[in-house]
Amino acid sequence: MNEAEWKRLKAAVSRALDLPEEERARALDAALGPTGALREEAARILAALQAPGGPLGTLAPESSAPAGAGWRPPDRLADLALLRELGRGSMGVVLLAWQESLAREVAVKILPPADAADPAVVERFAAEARKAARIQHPAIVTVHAVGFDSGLHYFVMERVEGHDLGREIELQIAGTRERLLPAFHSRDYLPAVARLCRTVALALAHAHAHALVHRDVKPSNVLLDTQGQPRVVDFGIARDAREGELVSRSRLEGTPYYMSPEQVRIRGQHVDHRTDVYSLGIVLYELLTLRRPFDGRTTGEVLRKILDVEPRLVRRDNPRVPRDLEAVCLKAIAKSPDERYATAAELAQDLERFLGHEAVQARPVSALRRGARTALRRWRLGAALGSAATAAILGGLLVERQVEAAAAGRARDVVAVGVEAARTIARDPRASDESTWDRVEALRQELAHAGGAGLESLAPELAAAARAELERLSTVLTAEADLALERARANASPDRERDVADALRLLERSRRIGSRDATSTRGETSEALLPRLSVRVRPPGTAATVHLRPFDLVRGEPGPRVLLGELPIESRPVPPGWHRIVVDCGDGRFAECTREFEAVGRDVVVEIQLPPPLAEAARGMLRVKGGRLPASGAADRSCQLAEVELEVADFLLDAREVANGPYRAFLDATGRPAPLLWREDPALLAAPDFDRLPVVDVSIEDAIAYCEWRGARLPTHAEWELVARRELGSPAALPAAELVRGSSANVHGAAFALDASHAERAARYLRSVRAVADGDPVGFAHLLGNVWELTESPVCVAGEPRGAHGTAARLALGGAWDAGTQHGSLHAVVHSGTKGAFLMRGFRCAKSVDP
Amino acid sequence: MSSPIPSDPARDARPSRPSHLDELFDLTYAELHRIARGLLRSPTSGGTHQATSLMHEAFVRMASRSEGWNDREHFVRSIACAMRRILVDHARARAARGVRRDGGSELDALVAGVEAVSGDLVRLDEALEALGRLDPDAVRIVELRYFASLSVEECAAALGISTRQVERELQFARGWLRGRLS
Repeated sequence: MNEAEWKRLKAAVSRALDLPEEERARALDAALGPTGALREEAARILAALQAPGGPLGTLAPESSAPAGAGWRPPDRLADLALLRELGRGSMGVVLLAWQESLAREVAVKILPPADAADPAVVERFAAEARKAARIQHPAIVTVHAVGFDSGLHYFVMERVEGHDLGREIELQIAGTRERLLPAFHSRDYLPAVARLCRTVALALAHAHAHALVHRDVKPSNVLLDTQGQPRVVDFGIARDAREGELVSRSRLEGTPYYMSPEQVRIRGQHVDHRTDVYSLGIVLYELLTLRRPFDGRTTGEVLRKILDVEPRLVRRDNPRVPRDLEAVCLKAIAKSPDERYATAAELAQDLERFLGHEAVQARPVSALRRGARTALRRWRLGAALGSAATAAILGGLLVERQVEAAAAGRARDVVAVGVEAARTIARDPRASDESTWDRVEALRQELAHAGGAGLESLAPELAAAARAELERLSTVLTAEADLALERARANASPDRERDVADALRLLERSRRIGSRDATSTRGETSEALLPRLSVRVRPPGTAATVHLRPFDLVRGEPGPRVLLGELPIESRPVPPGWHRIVVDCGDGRFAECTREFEAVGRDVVVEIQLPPPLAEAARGMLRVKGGRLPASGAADRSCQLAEVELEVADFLLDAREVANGPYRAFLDATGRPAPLLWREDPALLAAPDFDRLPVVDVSIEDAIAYCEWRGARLPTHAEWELVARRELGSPAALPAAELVRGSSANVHGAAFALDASHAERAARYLRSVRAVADGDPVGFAHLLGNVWELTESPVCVAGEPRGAHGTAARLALGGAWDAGTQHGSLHAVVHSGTKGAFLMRGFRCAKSVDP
Repeated sequence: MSSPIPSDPARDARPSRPSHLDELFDLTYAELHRIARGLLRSPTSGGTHQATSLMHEAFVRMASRSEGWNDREHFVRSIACAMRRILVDHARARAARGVRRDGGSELDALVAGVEAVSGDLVRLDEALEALGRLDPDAVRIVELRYFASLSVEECAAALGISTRQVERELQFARGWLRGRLS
């Protein structure tokens, strides 16, 4: 079977499965013809699915299906003949039924018996029906009746033929005929979308007028009838604004994409009807662009973006959207409820104005304002790093944990648990595990956010008591740090380094949780803790100045030059961190290298050849004109490239990855150990074209040593990405992984063969660095695919606390030979000292043009 | 080609197990445990001991072949793959030895337990291989769902596709595999 046939088979079977049993055979005939191998295969698959049991049927039961997947509804309920399943909602199975007394088709939602054992669930189910029954609106699915029969709770709803908006979006993306709205590229699409959202907005306004907030507006909760008219359904987690109590068990069970920032933050009392305005705005955005504004591969990442990331302009993805419609959409999804439309009715009115070619009320967000927002975010990044105290606030994990904590109980629980944890730590600070610290951190955040209607106003005494507890812990930690420093100073202990590291950690934590800026009472120790740098230059006697360019964790780039002094530089204290060292003769000759300086002082000696061997010819390198690297806004593994705009100076970059041949010459010259891989599998060295395969299984340290041996350095992530974006004709961001899959780069590797030898794998997966063009380089080879390429930039990952990786990790870019089969990003984190990644990661060298 | 390869005594002396694996192990211990428990949900396959030994074997396999993981999803994908290999290898060895359901080691018992619901693992593996040649994505989803015990939502998150797509793929794959195995 070839690929096209396979796709046809799959599509036909999937479509048939959506149909009632009796119609399936006909649908298969229509799609695949009445006879033939494909048709038989399809019949076999359908038959196998209908047979009870069988392999994979019961292994790992559908734990994710909330509505008891194993259970089968009966054939009848009261006067209803149940025909077939239509779907499963947040708390029940929805079936198509024939209501005999009124001779009409209806939809019936049934609470599965397993759930009916829980009175709370039954109450919720009944409440849902009651609330929905209270509102009558042409764009809201009508609830006819609520009932209880044969031990089952159920309610009867209007049957809407058609499909939901989620399916519609899939169909629009696939471009198939079954869609109910005009085709995405047609002229009628945008007005149809505006009309649809206007109708939904009016329906929501109607519900809001009855004090009912839907709280779970999303495409799958908007049904489209065969005329393409929308009906809102499933008030399953709706909160009755008059009752004031929230019913939200299932909120985190669903997709987070449409949650409003205030829902994510869970200051429960702040969530009002404007959350529906927001969620509908997100639906509108998705309809206009066919992509979600805040997407991510983990829940945490999505939630973080909902809170922190400004959506990409609609017109960037779909330039055909008029500015006014874009403005309406962006106003609906403003992060702050106060900046949105005050009511769903206002949103409907503005859409009406748009449809009537009148000026809308929403103002386009000016570039200045967007800039200001970005600047604010950056400032927050900077502040977070600067004080380490808030470094974790942006961490997606913590956001998630916060959401869970708040959803499970309320701030009080966080406080109770946090205070208990603080006491535990105070008893023995050095023995406490991370989860205890996390609880204290959650408490700290709760207190920090408690302004307004938070904990502070709810329970001021509780808040004050909790603060006092944190102060006490801060004092204990400072004292403990002093003790550790005392021990280290005595220097008798072989554990000196550990003591110092402990002290620094304790001090940082003390500062984080205490209100005042706790410093060690032994201030003078800090000078002694600084690392030291010595620079040896060949030929000796060369006159030159030495500068440091400290890497900035937020930008991932070296900062401006700081003069360290003239040669000789001996045991000069330098701040801990990751620095580029520049030796500048002042006459155009210069050399550079990059080193890490650890907080616990160990002298670093740098030996540099002047001029560097590469400077004369820069063989194999291409000169790259610097420029501006716009923030990609993409769901990158690197915050820097996603959120910060960078300026890149002119530089040189190897046209190709470093190959085994040159790397072997380096090993011969320096006596440095070969990659472990070479010794584990000597057959590898005999692999065809081995010398031209990219060198792999090198650690960060190995790669840096090689670069310096050549008089070069690793590229920064901005340099590498500037070239990659230019070469790939995608100046705004690296292309998405889907596009990479179709590219001609070496990205098509099969799944990793677990039982092959290294040599076999190398031959199978890696491609020679000469494979693109021979002779003089005409362009850059293999920026995408083949091997991940190491950069010298430290990492700041989306969804993790800033600085979580410290200076010990570097960013690798571009994906390896398997990039096209992995659904991942083209950014990866590499930790210092790791030797893993044996067939996956290599590097190429770079060099600055000016010192 | 013939140049001698310099060696690094420190690296040779110790079995090389990158330190990040230790971290990873701590971080994902719960993850592994969850997967093992998921696999053992069937009534016939015993208790914690089996879960633990399965988990350890999975970890050792992954550690010895580590390529490094980019993120949790990548890790879970690798684990799903390792779990499948372990179970199938044991099933094969077991068949070769002619062990009956209660014989031999904990893992033998585990295989017996899993097979009680999955059918013959060796045949299932062969069918998956065949499916993989036609549709590697479908196999990946099956592995995540069945061998890493991820929920449909988690599969969707790990692969960056919608839950509906996961469900469709699973349903189709299940039908295809069953059709082939029956």
